[in-house]
Amino acid sequence: MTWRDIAHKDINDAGRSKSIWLLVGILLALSLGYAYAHQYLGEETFVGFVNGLAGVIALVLPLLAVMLGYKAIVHERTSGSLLLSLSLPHNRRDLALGTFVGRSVVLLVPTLVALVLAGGLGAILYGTEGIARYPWFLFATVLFGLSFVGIAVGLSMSTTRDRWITFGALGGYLLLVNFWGLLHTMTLVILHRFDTAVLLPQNLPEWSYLYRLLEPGQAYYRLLELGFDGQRASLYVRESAPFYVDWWMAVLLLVLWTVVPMLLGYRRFSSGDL
Amino acid sequence: MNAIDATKVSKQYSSTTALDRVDLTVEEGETFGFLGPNGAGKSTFINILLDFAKPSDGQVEIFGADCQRNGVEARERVGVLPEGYSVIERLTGRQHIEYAIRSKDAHGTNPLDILDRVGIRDAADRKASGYSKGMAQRLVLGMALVGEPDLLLLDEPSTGLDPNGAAEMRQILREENERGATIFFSSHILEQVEAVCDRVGILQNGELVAVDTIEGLRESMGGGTKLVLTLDELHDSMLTEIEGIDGVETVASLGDSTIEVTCTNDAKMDIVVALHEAGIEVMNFKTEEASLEDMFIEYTGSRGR
Repeated sequence: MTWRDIAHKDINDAGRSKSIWLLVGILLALSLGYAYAHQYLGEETFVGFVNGLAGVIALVLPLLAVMLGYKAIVHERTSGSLLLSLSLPHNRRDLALGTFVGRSVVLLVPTLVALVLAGGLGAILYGTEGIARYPWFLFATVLFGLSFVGIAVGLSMSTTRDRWITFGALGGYLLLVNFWGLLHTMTLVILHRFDTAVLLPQNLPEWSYLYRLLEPGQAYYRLLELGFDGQRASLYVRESAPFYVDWWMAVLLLVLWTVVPMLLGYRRFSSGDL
Repeated sequence: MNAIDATKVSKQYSSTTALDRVDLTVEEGETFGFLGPNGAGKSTFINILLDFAKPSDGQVEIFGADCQRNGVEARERVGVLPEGYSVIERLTGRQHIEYAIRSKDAHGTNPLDILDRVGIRDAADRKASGYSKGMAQRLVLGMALVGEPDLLLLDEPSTGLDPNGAAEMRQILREENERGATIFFSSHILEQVEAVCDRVGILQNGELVAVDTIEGLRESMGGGTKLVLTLDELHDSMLTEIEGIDGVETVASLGDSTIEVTCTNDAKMDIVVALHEAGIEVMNFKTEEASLEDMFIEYTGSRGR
């Protein structure tokens, strides 16, 4: 259970970085800024506001998580401060876990603070109907943020080659946040010999719902659908959608996005020489 | 139980052998110097002890705990000063010590006492990334001292220290040894080892070529006597001639007409007699005990500086 010591150290260390203030600033500016701007952008209800805010978070939080985590281990490894930690009675598993927890705290505490403040402002501006489910939104955001911390820290354990880490982080972000939908569409069209009719909602094959839901942002929206029936994940609640693209599947997928990259990265990290 | 028990430890990097079947036992309570030129494999061995690197073959135990399979248990009783570390970027000196205290469950240790002992108390609340190399070395030694470890494992501890600092470091090592701790440290600088060690191991090209006490090493060099002779005149041909005498190991000219001869103890007089017979007059004559440095050169063929 020595991961706590590592997490404590990591929070102390990362928490003193100047870029943390940048992170806090970005989160506050975007959340509060959006809360204010929502009146010009969308439906002036609290639920509408949360759906809009989720759209902002879905773009920004992965970016911040990746930036915070993709060098977490590799930087310590190449600089040599990792040797100090591993000279103490910690094993590499505790180091991996502790670093993950530390970075998660560093990302999610400012996120939650920003979202609570934005929620307050939103309630003042758009009324309180639906505010009881705001914690569910916070919970979904935490799961969503954790998945990208897991991806980033897993990546940072996988190799010591800076170039691969940078490409991996950039590529991972673009693929998982920007291009998954396109990839989904292209896969479908290619499998159906360029008959674009398959893309019509009523023609979508069942498996492709799950494929689409694999995108962490979609899983996040799917979770929100439960509390805030917005329009972002209406795909998964239509009648033709298979039962397994329910909210629990979204939880499962986000957990897998957290755990699997960590495990893959850890496998390489634990077997190699430092 | 032994502090360190290494059995046939080998480390192979794609085409080079960093360690070749090293067998080594360090007993509890002793101060052991691990000596060798740079690149001999000292750090590789220590890295395997710490599980920073996995051995290709063989195994190492610290107080009976396997360093690879049971690394945490092994390191619980060890204080480490590794090589090639860097301090944690944004933590102060005090926070580094606190990190070690927390990690070793040594609550009740006052970080300032430790920093005082290694001589950087004044810098306790400065970020360690601004420390000089010597201060960083003192800081990490301080981390190693936390929790009164049973074994101190130090890789080139005097790196970056001025002579004064190196002497303070040796003093701390002596105190720790008196407390009962086993000390294992590597160095390529002989005087460090000569000054504090009970036993020495010499590593060369990944092979442990000698393990002995310093006196033992001297004896194994045949008494390890060094003759310094001043002759009335010196020609190059004489050097080869002297080298041919039984019992002579090395001959070196020190300039002018002085030569230095290392030889077995009982060959001393033979050399003087032989020189006399060859018509070479010996003006002055003195013997010295061979220093560890001579032995080191003898064993490793390099001047370890």
